[in-house]
Amino acid sequence: MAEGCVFCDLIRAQNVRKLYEDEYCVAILEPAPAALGHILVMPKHHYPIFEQVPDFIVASMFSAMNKISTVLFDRLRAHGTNVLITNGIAAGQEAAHVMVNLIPRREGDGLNFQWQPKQLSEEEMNTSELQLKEECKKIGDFQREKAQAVVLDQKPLSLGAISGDSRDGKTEHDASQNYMLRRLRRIP
Amino acid sequence: MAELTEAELQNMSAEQIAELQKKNCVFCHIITGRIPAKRVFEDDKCVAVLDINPANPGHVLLLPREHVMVMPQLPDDLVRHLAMVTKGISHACLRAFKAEGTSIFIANGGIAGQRAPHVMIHIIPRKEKDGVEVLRTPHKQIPPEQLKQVDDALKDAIDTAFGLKNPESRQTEQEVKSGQGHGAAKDSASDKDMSKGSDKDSSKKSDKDSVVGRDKDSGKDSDEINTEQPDNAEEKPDEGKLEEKISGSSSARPKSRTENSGARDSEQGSRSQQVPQSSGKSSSQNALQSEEGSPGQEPEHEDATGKELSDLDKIAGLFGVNPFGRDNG
Repeated sequence: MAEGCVFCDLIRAQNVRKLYEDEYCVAILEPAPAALGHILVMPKHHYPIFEQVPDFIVASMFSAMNKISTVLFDRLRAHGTNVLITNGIAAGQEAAHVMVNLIPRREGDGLNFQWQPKQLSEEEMNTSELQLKEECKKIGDFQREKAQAVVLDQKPLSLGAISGDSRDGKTEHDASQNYMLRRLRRIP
Repeated sequence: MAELTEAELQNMSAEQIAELQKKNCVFCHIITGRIPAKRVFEDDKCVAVLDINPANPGHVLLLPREHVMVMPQLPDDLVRHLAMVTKGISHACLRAFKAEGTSIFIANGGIAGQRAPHVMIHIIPRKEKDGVEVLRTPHKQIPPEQLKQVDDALKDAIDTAFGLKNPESRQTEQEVKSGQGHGAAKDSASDKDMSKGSDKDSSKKSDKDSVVGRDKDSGKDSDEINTEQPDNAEEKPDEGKLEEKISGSSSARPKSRTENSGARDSEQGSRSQQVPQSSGKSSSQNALQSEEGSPGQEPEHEDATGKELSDLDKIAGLFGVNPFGRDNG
């Protein structure tokens, strides 16, 4: 939790009702909503922008968001929903804490998220395709939660990080020693 | 494909209609490759293509291979997968176009701006003053009592939806149950409404009318919440107390968001200046670092993304917050 982050404070506050809470994320009602029933799904830890959030937390945020959106249809009788992540100040992000906006939509609610399409030349489209394709090759190796979850829990109890580090160091050391020994033995 | 008459459509089963929609879905054709598109990424579950009417250069549509109309119909594991790919593409946009941010947008239902009956996630690279300013969240001032009502209504329904229902009293348990029954009854109606909504305007209208007709007073949005009230009426006893809490916190918050960021700026600025001089860490920084250390544990991950993180830090740094409480030097 970062000092001075309004949303970290909000997540920790006792008197704010969490609509949903799990290991990684929290959902609360937006106090200044775009429409009644506007919900924020946020990671519990402090990440300023979306790309910094680990993959498995992104996954659990979306999963929670999706389940909550069914509730908006059922309970608030929304006719549609919008999901919006404003990521970075240029995109209109207002606070330095990642959040997924889930906005129930009804007829005549006065909201409009319809952008003006731009006309791009074939060449521009091709260059952006090539640029993006290159970068997208890195997608696919997702971080899974398994290892982290254990360490997270253990950390406050013991010197988890340090012992973990030293253990890693030791195994490396052992390995190198063995390697050296082996090499020594191999030399006649 | 031969035109179908109204009567034939009426007689079709739900599966047949779904099949027909799938056949006519432009995006399913794009996924199978029958319609050419500029693909930037694909795997076994999803395909990402460039939008032909982009909001900005590099506007990506991420499509699940499965033909599903709205996000809530997607299976959970697919949603999780899409989320992770979305993050990856968003990151790729930042790197490829030197974008200063991204907007990630999903519309469920015609009324929310969905144009085609296939789930898609828009990922739009953003720069300052690029003309896509509509994609931001407006803020309305809503009376705390009304927020409280919505909060109550949603809390129960969400607990039920997640199977976490923790009835504090008999009364609320009953309330939850009635809410659930109500919701289930509504479910089919709203689903139908949704699916038609994205497809045919005329049928949507009539369908919606029937929905409105059934629950007489749900016409206007402000009234709609009041119709929830009878359900919640039994909960009155502890309402006063909670309301006090909520109104207290919510009235303080919206204003403080902007003010605080200013205060945060200077606070953080002064702290980051102090850091190089004092080799010892303040307690708050210690706390920050231990917090920071926990999620990104895996050493090999840190190594792998070490360079990329500095790019991200630049964007995150625009908030005036030292994003991780460490100095980036």
